[in-house]
Amino acid sequence: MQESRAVHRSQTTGSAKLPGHFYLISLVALLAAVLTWFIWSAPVRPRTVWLGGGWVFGVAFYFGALRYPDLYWRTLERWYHELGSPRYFYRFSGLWLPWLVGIAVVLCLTGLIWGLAFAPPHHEQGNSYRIIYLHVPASSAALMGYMAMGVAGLVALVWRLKMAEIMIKAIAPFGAVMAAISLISGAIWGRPTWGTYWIWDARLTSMLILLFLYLGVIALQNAIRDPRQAGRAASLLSVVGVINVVIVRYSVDWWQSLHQGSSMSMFGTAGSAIHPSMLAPLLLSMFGIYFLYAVTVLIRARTEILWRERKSNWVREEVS
Amino acid sequence: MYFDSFAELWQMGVHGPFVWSAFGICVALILLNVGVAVYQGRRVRRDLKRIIRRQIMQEKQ
Amino acid sequence: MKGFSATLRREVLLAMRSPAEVINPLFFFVVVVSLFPLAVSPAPELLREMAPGVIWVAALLAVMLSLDGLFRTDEETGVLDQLLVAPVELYFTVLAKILAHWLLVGLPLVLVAPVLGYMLQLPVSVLGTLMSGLLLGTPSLMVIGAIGASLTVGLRRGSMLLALLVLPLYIPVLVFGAGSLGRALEALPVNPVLAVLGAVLALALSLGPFAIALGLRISTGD
Repeated sequence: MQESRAVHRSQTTGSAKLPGHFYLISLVALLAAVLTWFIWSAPVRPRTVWLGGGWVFGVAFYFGALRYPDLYWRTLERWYHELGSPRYFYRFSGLWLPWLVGIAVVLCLTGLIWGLAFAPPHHEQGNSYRIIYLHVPASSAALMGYMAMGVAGLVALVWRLKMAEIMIKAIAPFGAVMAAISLISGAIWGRPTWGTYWIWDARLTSMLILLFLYLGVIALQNAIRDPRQAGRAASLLSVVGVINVVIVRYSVDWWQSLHQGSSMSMFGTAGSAIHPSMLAPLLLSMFGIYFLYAVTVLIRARTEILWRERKSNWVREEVS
Repeated sequence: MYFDSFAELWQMGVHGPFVWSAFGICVALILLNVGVAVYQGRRVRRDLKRIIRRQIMQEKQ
Repeated sequence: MKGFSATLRREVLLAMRSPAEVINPLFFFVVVVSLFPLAVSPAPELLREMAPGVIWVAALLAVMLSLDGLFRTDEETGVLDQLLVAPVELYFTVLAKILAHWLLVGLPLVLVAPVLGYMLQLPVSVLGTLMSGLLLGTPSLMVIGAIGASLTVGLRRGSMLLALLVLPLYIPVLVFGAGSLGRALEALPVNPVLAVLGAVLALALSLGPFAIALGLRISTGD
């Protein structure tokens, strides 16, 4: 077994031989570079952050892939094959987990404490705006989680990859919790800002619907006894759900414009820029929450792998 | 620190109750979720250990 | 296409033999709408303001409840397994089933809706918008609901789960459907909104049957 794995590895990786944690460290370095760049740049709008971040990642990936095609595509191929296999996924995730936990804890603590105690207050909303350091990361994590579920669902349906089904099961619970956190923190922020805990605001309403969609996926998974069948059913539902989320978003925006609701944003009045001294802790806590998400997804996926593969030899060796 | 003292950090002008209750509830939810995931993992491991031990015993007999 | 017409004929024939399944959703629709004036108030202005939402929510629930049995009898009698192995494209079979179901359940809802709208004090000038909105909206509701029905077909207590899965997916149709009627009440142009409903219908009809066919394959353990 060991021997065949060594052969497989040398075939797929070719000349590119780098230690496994190289990719993780380079990813973190890239994130740190982006973060530093934003902290030192002039006041930027939130949308610019996303566009800018996307460009940095896109350009880095494109030139990297051009410069080292072997390293990139072979690595992707290797990841697809190895991470698609529950056994290797279990081993890799075991190596990554301590690193991810450390990064998540450091980023979350720095971001949240910086946001709570060191960032300046908002000129319109005073100190109540500090809730965004929790609310915005949670909202974006809930949305990203659903998108990730849709991608995993597509992979599970097209290539019948067992790992993709396991990922959906692992992503759903924390996504639902993130949506709930976004709603709770949004409601508490609304009390001093709008004078009420709940308003049928477009963003809050979309998040409520997203929570319902998460709960639907979880309920479907729990209702079907056979794990393979449950995984495939949840995959189909999450793919349908992702298409729906986009339409829901537009329909709710339109519905809001029809009824002339409140348009107050967490970032202050629409179009105003966010100051770097407020943005830096926000980005930190955002990446912190993403890493925390990754941690819980890995923990849940590992549990599910062990249970699904309980009849195989490697689980026997692993557990006893 | 932006605030002069910890008392001021706690009060945050008039917004202290909102900010701290939001953070308290949400951080508790996150920790609870992580805790449940870890607990489930441990329980599955424990159950598997028992099941596998029983299987090995049966194989020996 | 042979499968299409055969399935269509079979579905209509089956429904003719047990007309209760066709009449019950219609009856449900009428009863639910007439509960609202009793529960809220018979004041004409209030009823007129509520009417778009009430009619659309009632129609949505009627469609959803009728879908629970769409594949269940086929599954219990083993017809579903026959359909899955038949040398006919499942896409057309599913499309035929939905078309038949819409003709038997959805079309009566559309036809009876203006009467209920009039009872809820809607002006006669907006009843046309109500009908065209439902005409475009109910088929989308059928297709989206059938995706949920295909995933819950083999499950006990599936009807509650069906509601949980499908109701969030219904929101865009509900928003644009009730919104078109609301705009008609304010004498604003409704064609753009109806066009969006039509776009949702086109998306649902083109991609939905694939998802339903896949859902049926998953549910039967294929």
